[in-house]
Parts: sequence; structure tokens; C-alpha cells
Amino acid sequence: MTFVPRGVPQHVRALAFLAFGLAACGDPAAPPAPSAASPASAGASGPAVAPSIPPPSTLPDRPLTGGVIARLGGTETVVVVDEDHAALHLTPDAKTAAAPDAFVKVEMPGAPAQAVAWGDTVLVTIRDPGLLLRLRLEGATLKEVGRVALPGDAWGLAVTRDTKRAVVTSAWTRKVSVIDLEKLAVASTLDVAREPRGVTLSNDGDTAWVSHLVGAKLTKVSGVGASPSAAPVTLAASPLRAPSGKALEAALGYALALSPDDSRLFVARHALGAMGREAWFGAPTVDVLRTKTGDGIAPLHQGNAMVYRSAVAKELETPDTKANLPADALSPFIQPRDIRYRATHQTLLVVGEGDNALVELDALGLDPTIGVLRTYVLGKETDPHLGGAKTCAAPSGVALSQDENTAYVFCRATYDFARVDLSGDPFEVPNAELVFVRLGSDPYGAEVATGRRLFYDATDKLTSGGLACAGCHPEGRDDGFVWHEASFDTPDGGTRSNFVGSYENVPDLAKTKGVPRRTPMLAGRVSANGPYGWRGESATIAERITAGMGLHRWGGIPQHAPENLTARASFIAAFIRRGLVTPPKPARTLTPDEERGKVVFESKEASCTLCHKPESEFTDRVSYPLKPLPAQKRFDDEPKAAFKTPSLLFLEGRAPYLHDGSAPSLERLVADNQDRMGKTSHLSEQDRAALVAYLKTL
Amino acid sequence: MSRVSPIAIAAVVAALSPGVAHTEPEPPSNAKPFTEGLPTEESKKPTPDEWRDAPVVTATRTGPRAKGCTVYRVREWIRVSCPDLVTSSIAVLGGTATGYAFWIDPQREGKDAKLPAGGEIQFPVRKGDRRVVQMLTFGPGYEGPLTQLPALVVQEHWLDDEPVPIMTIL
Ligand code: HEC
Ligand code: HEC
Repeated sequence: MTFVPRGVPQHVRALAFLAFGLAACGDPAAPPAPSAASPASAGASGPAVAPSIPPPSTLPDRPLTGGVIARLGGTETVVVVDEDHAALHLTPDAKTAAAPDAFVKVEMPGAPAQAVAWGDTVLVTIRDPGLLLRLRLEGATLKEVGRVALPGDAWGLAVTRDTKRAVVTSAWTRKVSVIDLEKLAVASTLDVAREPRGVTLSNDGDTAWVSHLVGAKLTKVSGVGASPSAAPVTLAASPLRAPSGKALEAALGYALALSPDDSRLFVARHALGAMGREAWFGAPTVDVLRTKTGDGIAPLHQGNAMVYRSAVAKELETPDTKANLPADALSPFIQPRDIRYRATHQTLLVVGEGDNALVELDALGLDPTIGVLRTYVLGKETDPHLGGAKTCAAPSGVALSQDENTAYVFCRATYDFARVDLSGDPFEVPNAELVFVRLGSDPYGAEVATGRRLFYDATDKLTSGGLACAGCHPEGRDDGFVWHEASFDTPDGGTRSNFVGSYENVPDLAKTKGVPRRTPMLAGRVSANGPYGWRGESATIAERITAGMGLHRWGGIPQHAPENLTARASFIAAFIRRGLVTPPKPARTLTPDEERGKVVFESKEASCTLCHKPESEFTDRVSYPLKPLPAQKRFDDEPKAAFKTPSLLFLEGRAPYLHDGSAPSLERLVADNQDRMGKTSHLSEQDRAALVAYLKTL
Repeated sequence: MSRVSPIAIAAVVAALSPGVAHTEPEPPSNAKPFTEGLPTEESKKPTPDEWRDAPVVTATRTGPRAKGCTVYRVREWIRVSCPDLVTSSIAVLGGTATGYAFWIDPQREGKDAKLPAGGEIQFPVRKGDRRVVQMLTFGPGYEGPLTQLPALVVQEHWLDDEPVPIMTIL
């Protein structure tokens, strides 16, 4: 299907009025007039006006991409997906909603992740148990009309334009399901890489693109309409900021968006190891894939590219001056959670969970993060004591109004709905007031509420140097990444240990690459008093969190009283223990093979339980000087280190393994173990396979 | 930093402070998109005479940072000219490495000779291009009053299967 009939790419058309920032913005798709107000259905609390429902035959103009906010095409009826309250909030007119009573709360059978809406239909993914729910608008509320059981942790959702098929990602269980919506049945289930999240469909409904929370690869699902198959697609992260000639890894691929003509796919995520001033954590990025060829469109940074300097620049140059790296802000947004294409302006809207921002980016150039048009600060009411915003913290989704001149946002840490005026000159933030509506309070009380805000927040200078806990431990899980813990000098004085994404981030003078530290998963694994850290160096959880505050930055923590760190740590500890949700793990009896593996695991000869104690999260929390793992070129050696027995809970979903991430799978870990931990060399092929099968059930 | 005399720094800082008026007019309202009538054959780079008579064209998207810059086109050759931009350096960030010419005006009438003023970028627009070029200026920052700061970025690309190139100056 081609959308380029007149010799101009569709994503370039209609731009003439934008040149030199003219303010005139057309209103090409005026919404239909709302239908006459009808009385609310009996018994429903909330708005007195029923949503203006278009005739049921209404099909969407484009495939639908799910999100935390879904708008019903042709109306301003909006569904807000509230995971922590296992509920949806429905409002008939998001353009005017100004108070909680403009929303109706609809309970869900589990934590919902994303929704789409068309006609009188709303589809919602439920994480645990994995479900796709089909709901119908009835009066002012939603009624379930059917459901499909899906692999656990059903998350991302997209629907074809003819509304015959849906594609759902199951994050923890690493599956993509194609659902026949007419039969309300699964048509196909595909195995994919770790943490598939965002999904979006081509106009013809035949190709789905999937982003992953872990790794730089995407998944392309072909043949959605007939016989689906999945294949990985390589897309280097933030190529212009990569160390010369190197393709970077990525994390936080929660969302992606296609241009209206399907020619370009925009993936919002975090590039690990990207270069720039004090770029210890890398750089947030929007990477652009050319769908026809499957290539990234931005070129890779080459260290020897041409630089022409003025005489003064030549005189001032230091070894740290890197004129051929982008000089624009390293973090135009932090921890991207959602991205939408604004077709009327050929721009992209991205919400940053870490900096509570909505940014509008150019969608025409090779690297959208270099063309920041405007930034809306959504986080308000900064906490004077603990830092972070108390209103609109951690925005997690954005949707556009019918005319694309208003954005609707949901902030997941404070449960605020926000309405943002996008009208006017796209290079200027209009001074129209932001409207916030609080849709709930923290289900676990005030202490967890504070910890929750801080866990997602990257703006507080004491907690981190620009990346929140959730930047490396997304949803309390892990980024699948091996960080470099390196010791080096910074201008603020003294030698400090900091985390960096690649050894190229360390100043050359320090002559160190850092030691490898794979990010551990937190959810459901932090109930013990301690010790914490791969080397068990922190006696308590609070000590580990404050130690982290020093590691997760460039240089030292700004001047502070120690109690300011411990106060933050205690709130955060409360949240990571009580507020984080563990991945789905349906209770079931072990298969004979898994039983056999359990016997091996608990056998005296293998002696796994000597250290991995089943009664305490499968760890004794003691450090052991195991035989060193083979050295890796990217890291410094650590010959004499002792490592703490890690908990084995939730093993299956969080490869790679070991402190240096050197075991890509449990199969490899067991095959290569020899007798480094316990004893495995005596095991038969079948016993090894059984042991692995058992480990996957933990 | 220590290698530059304080006097030179003072001169540059003075020149950077507000009050340096833009002399460049806005592009004429009849300026055409740079893609209009773009030839697809390669030609030699234009002569100075040709540039003198070159028409002003518009980029696909231009941001406020490019205020004061003018884009000219001769055949497939583009020249982005920012006569009022205190240009510290011009760097290719990635992509097509050939065909460029850069100028930085070492001095301007009535100004200290140390002061770089005005920057220009020239390159041909051809199928297969992927160009990202950054212009830097001086300003107060982490390296003192003469920190090199971003001024604008020109991104031009023409993918094989797209009928026209795209150029943003942001
Ligand atoms: C830059 C990435 C990054 C950020 C940001 C980050 N962590 Fe971590 N976290 C890690 C890595 C890597 C480790 C393992 C380090 C080690 O043990 O030496 C770790 C270890 C931990 C541990 C110890 C777990 C265990 O089982 O021993 C806890 C608890 C923890 N982090 C909590 C947090 C909290 C809370 C925050 C926010 C204040 C945070 N982290 C921010 C990467 C990160
Ligand atoms: C002497 C104590 C000890 C024994 C016995 C032991 N382990 Fe471990 N285990 C550890 C330590 C310490 C680590 C971390 C090592 C590292 O990262 O280099 C670890 C790591 C692991 C991991 C990786 C966990 C992760 O999060 O990356 C797995 C899986 C594992 N062990 C399984 C086993 C099995 C199976 C056995 C029995 C064959 C066993 N262990 C025996 C101490 C032990």
C-alpha cells in the first residue's frame, strides 16, 4: 500500500506552513460534533454525560497502537489505564475533564497495561493473569464482553485497521500473540527475545514491530494476517553518539511509533554507553528505522570525521573537546515511556518518566533527539525535602486529541491525568495552564507513595546523577546490562567509583575499563535484611541504596547532610519491598523432568543448596571466592574477588547470568560451570537438562 | 584555556553579549523549497560568481536557532550561511564524508581580529546522502566563558527510494 502518490513523501507534505516557525496550525481533522447529552446509566457514579459514541461500524483510520491512555477515534472519550489500582478510568470528554468526578472507575480482573479503543469497543491487556479483555461502552461505563487467555504479563497491544486482528506482547514470558478478534481466540503465539513491550502495526495490518526493554534489537512480525513469523531486526542505539564505529546496546524500549506512510519507525529508548559530556549512563534516544530496508537511518559516529576550527577554538582545545559529537543536550528527556507521531506537524511526542517531561521532537531529520522543538515540564510541586515532583511524577503514556492540538498524559507515580495544550508555534511552549486531575492515591499508603516517586525520579541531584532507579531497574526488574564500575578522577575533586555504560566513557587518563556488574532484579528479591551488592559489601538494603546514590553518577554526590540520603533510602526501600510487583508465576505442580532437576539441585553431590538455600530466596547471602571467570576484553580483571550467592528467584526471565553477564542462558551456565559452584561435571546430559528445567521454575 | 590571553577572551566575551544585532534579513517570502527543480546529475561546485547570484531557498524545517542564517542553492549545491553567528567550529557528526567546504570568518569590520564571526557550510545534495553537520559557537559553560556550545545542526538526507531529499536546520 503506497501513500506517496504525488512525488513527495507523505511525512514531508504539509510542512510548508511550518517553515520559520509560523504559528498558523491547520485543523485538518476537525472532530465531529459531540452527540446530544444522554443521561448516565443508572447506578454509575461519575459524569452525568455519556460518552459520544460513534456508530459501531466506525473503523479506525489507521491501525491502533495501545498505550496507557487510549482515545476513542472521532471523540474525546479517553480511557486511562491504571495498573496499580487494577482499574480503568473513563472520561467522556478528556478535553474538558477537570475533576475526578469527570472519570468513571472500572475495575479490572488484574493489573491492566495498555488499551486501545474504537467504535464502542475497548481492548485492554491484563498482566497477571495474562489476558486480553474486550469491553463495550455502555452508558457511562464499560462492560466486559469477552476475554482471551494469553501468556503471562500481557502488555503491549496493537490492532489492525480492519479490527480483525490484535497483536499482544507478553513481557516476562517473552511471547508475541496474534489474536483473531472475530473469534476472540489466539491465532498464533511466537517466541521472541527478552521483554517485548511496545508493538505497532503497518497500515496493511500485515507487519508488526515490537520493541524490547532489554537489548537494541527489535522484533519484526511478518504475516500477521495469515501465518505470522518473528525475526529480530538490528537497530543500533543513538549511532551519532556512539564511540567511534561502535554499535551501542539499548534498554527501556517501552514504545515505538510508525510514520503515517509506514516508511519510518521511531523507537524511543535509552542508548547504553553513548558518549557526551559526563555521559556515564549513555543517552536517551529516538532511533529511526527505515522499514523498507530494515536499516537505521542515522549514520554511525566516526571519530575521524572532518572538523574545521576557528583560531580561538584551536587555542582552547583540550583532549576532552569532542567537536564531532552532538553538543546538544545529552538528555532531552529521561527514561522514555511512550512515543506518538503527531501527523499534522511531522513531529514526535515523547514522555520521559525520569524528568517528568513531554517533549516534541522533529520527525524529519536523521536523529530526532537533535531536533528538540519544545519541552513541557509536567512535574510540579517539587518536594523541598526529598526532591522529585509531587504532581505528575513519572508520566507513562501520552495520547493526542482528535485535532492533535492537545496531549493527554498519565503520570503513573502520582496517578495524575494531565492535559497539555500543544497549539501554536511548535517551537514555543504555549503559556496555557496545564490541567491535572488526580485519579487515585497510592494503594500502599504514604511511605510507599514517596518511595515510588523517588524510584522513578531522575531530577533529584542527591539520589542520582541523571538516571533514576527505574532507568536500570525498570519496573524493579533489570536492564539485562553489564555496567562498568570504574574508579576515576573528576573535576569535583578526588577519585570516585562510578558506573559507566562503556569503558570509552571513562576519561582516558584513568586507564581503567572498570569491573563488570550486571544489574540485578529487585522485585520480590529484596526482603532480606542484607547483605546486598554482588560482593555483599552493603550490610543492609538502606546502605546499598545510599551506596548506589554515589555510584550512579559522574563524580561525587553534591554537598549534603548524610540524613538526607538515608531519608530517601528508607522511603525507596519501603517501595521496592512493598510497591514493586513481581512477575507472574502461576502456581503449578512440577513436571517429572523438573522434579528430577529438583532432586539434582538438592543432592549432596551437586551441593547447590549449600549456598542457594531454598528457605531464604535461594541464597545464604555469603560471599565466596569462586574460581575467577574468564577475563573479558571490555572490562578490567578482578582476580581475587569474592561474590555473594545471589538469589535464584525469577531466574528464567532475566538472562544474562552471573555478575559479569557471561552466561547468556541457564543451559550455558550449567554446561560451562564445571565445578566452579557446587558440582555439575558428574551430571549426565539429561540431569543437566532437568536441572535447568527446575531452575526455570524458581 | 590558559593559552589564550585574557584580552582576547574579553574581546570575544564582549562580542557575545547581547546587543550584537542580526543584520541578516528573513528569507524573502518568495523563497522556494530547496528541493524544487533539483537536478539529479552531478555538477562541479559553483564559482563565487554563481554564488553571488544564487537564489535563497528554504529547508524542509528550520528552527529558531537558524534565525539569521540563509540557505542558497546553485544546481545541486547548497550553502548555509550564518554571517552573524560567532562560529567556533564546524564539524561533521556522521554520514557522507565528502563534498563539504566550510568557512569561518576570521574577522569582521570593526571587531577584534581574534573574534571568529560568521560560519558557512557548503555541500552538494545527492541521492544516497546522509549528512549531519554541527556548528558550534562560544558561550559561558562548564569550560568557562569560552565553552564551545551548540549553535545549530544541519541534517540532510536523500534516501534512495524517496523522491526528494529532506533538510532540517535546527
Ligand atoms: C546505572 C544503573 C543503576 C541505577 C541507576 C540503579 N541501579 Fe541498583 N544496581 C545496579 C547494578 C549494576 C547493581 C549491582 C551492583 C553491585 O552489586 O556491585 C545494582 C544493585 C542494586 C541493589 C542490590 C541488589 C542485590 O540483590 O544485591 C539494590 C537493592 C539496588 N541496586 C537498588 C537500586 C535503587 C533503589 C536505585 C535508585 C536509587 C538503583 N538501584 C539505581 C544498577 C543500577
Ligand atoms: C559455594 C556457594 C555456591 C554453590 C555451592 C553454588 N552456587 Fe550458584 N552461585 C554462587 C555465587 C557466589 C554466584 C555468583 C557468581 C558470579 O556471579 O560470579 C552464583 C550464581 C549462580 C547462578 C546465577 C544467578 C544470577 O543471578 O546470575 C545460578 C543460576 C547458580 N548459581 C546456580 C547454581 C547451581 C545450579 C548450583 C549447584 C550445581 C550452584 N549454583 C551452587 C554460589 C554458589
